[in-house]
Amino acid sequence: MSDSDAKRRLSDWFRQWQVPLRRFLKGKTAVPSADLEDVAQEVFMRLMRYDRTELVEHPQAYLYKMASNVAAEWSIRSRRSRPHDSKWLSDLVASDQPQRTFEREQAEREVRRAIETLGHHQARMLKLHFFEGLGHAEIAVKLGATQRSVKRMLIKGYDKLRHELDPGLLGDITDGHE
Amino acid sequence: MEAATWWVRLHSEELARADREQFVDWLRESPVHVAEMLRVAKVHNALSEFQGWVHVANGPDDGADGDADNGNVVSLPHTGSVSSLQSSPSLSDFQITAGDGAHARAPSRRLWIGAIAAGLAALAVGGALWFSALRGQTIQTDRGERREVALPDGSILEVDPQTRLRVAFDDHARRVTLDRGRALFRVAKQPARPFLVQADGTTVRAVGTAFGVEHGKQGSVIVTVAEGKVAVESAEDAGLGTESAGLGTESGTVNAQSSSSAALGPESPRLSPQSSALNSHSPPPNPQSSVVRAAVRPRAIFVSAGQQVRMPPSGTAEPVRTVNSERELAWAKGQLVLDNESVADAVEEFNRYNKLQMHVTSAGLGQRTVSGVFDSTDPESFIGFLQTVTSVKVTRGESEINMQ
Repeated sequence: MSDSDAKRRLSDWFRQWQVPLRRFLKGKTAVPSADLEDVAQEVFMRLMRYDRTELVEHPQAYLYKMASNVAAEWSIRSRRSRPHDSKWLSDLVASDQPQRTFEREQAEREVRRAIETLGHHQARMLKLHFFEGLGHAEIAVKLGATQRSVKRMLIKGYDKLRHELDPGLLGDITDGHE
Repeated sequence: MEAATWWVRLHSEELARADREQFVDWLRESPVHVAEMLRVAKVHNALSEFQGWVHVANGPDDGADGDADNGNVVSLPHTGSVSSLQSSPSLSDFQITAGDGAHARAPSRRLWIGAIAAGLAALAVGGALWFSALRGQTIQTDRGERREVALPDGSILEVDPQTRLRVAFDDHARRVTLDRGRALFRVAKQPARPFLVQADGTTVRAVGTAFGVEHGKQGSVIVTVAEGKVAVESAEDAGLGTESAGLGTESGTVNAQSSSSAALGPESPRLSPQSSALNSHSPPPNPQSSVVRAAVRPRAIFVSAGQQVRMPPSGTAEPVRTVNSERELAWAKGQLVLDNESVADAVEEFNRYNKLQMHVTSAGLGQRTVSGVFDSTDPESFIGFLQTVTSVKVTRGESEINMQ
């Protein structure tokens, strides 16, 4: 019973910030990779102004909500006053259907290339996680490892790919597909 | 690494309050942390959307459960676009062999479209890089534009309209050159890397403090300190600011005293979190060493919280004055403090902050003096005030207001 309670709590916990995260990644309020630095700076300013106690309640929800809000505000502003900035360029590119297909394929190649730079264990573990949807505990059982080491390997995997993946090649393949 | 660690933790467990506090504090340490967190989310998204997992090898030690893996492959929900790709044999072939060097077999029309698209993408990416590289070095504001900028070290700049400044950080020093205009600097503490602001012939050194630097009238530079203490030197003393990197330890001691009363105080809520953070990290006061150091460099002028110094373009600095720094730096909060100023000067100040331009067409009105505190972006309140003290005839155009 306590197990199911814990699961329910965890799923509530997820729900609180999965929606803002999805808004940040997908749809009209998605933040284009090229604007990430600038958006981060503005989010940082907002985080500084916000009451810490409130932020602590749902930090990730605030983080991604602020990021997608900034992107939305900027896209409105750029449409009005800055027709030549990078967001306008990426909008133009994304509206072209062959271009979208090309971007998707380019992103696929780039992710595949980055994954190939990982060790066998790391790539396998990411596959179990992302492809088979297994949690840390299940991966640990499958690989005969401890949960702790699975977690550590997952962190290293994210970190390696974060440096390996070229955001310019990833494009924003999920824009408009919320 | 930290961002990835937080991401994995956030995804796998409900964090306790203390952990969430730690996460929030980490985010608020630097915009770099925020960017890293957003980037990890993008990485996660790219991996979630990746269609080619099925081709990722299971590793040499795992031939046995390959069938089990394939069983899962079937149940994987595919997106619409992949299904449509698979309905066409040639495209499906392309999809499966992409990355293996076999994509040269794809129809030439696709390559042609691809080449144009690649050109466009390169243009977009190149453009974005150029923009961000430029932004990293130069911050420029126009008439009517105020900007709040966070630097990678967590320092915050309040940049006034019609200001241009350049930022250059390296391992030894954080340098900002104020070419024109004015800015308020809330410097994050980094004792090993002094923060140097150069304006004309004046260099201001700080480690963790808040101060304003502005180009005044007749080529002077005005330095006003809200918190802590800074060392102000003329260019020849500071070696034009380029050799000051080695003075890190010295400026560390010079700025060891940090005032606990933030001059911009509680009525400036958006700045107060940063100022309290700065204060909480202040090293203990060490006045003795600052005196010793001051003796070593007799020409450096030390300006403390609540003080101001005006550096003329040449010759000796004016004596340090005690000022109401909150009032003197009110511009950083978007306020105009008028103290017996002529209406003509006040209008000129308002015009710097606004697209809507005011003009005074009567000499008598222009010379009249006024005092008061106004919101710099609300010229109407100023006009309203003028109308209460004198008779003003106001004519409104589309983007200008004439007063006589």
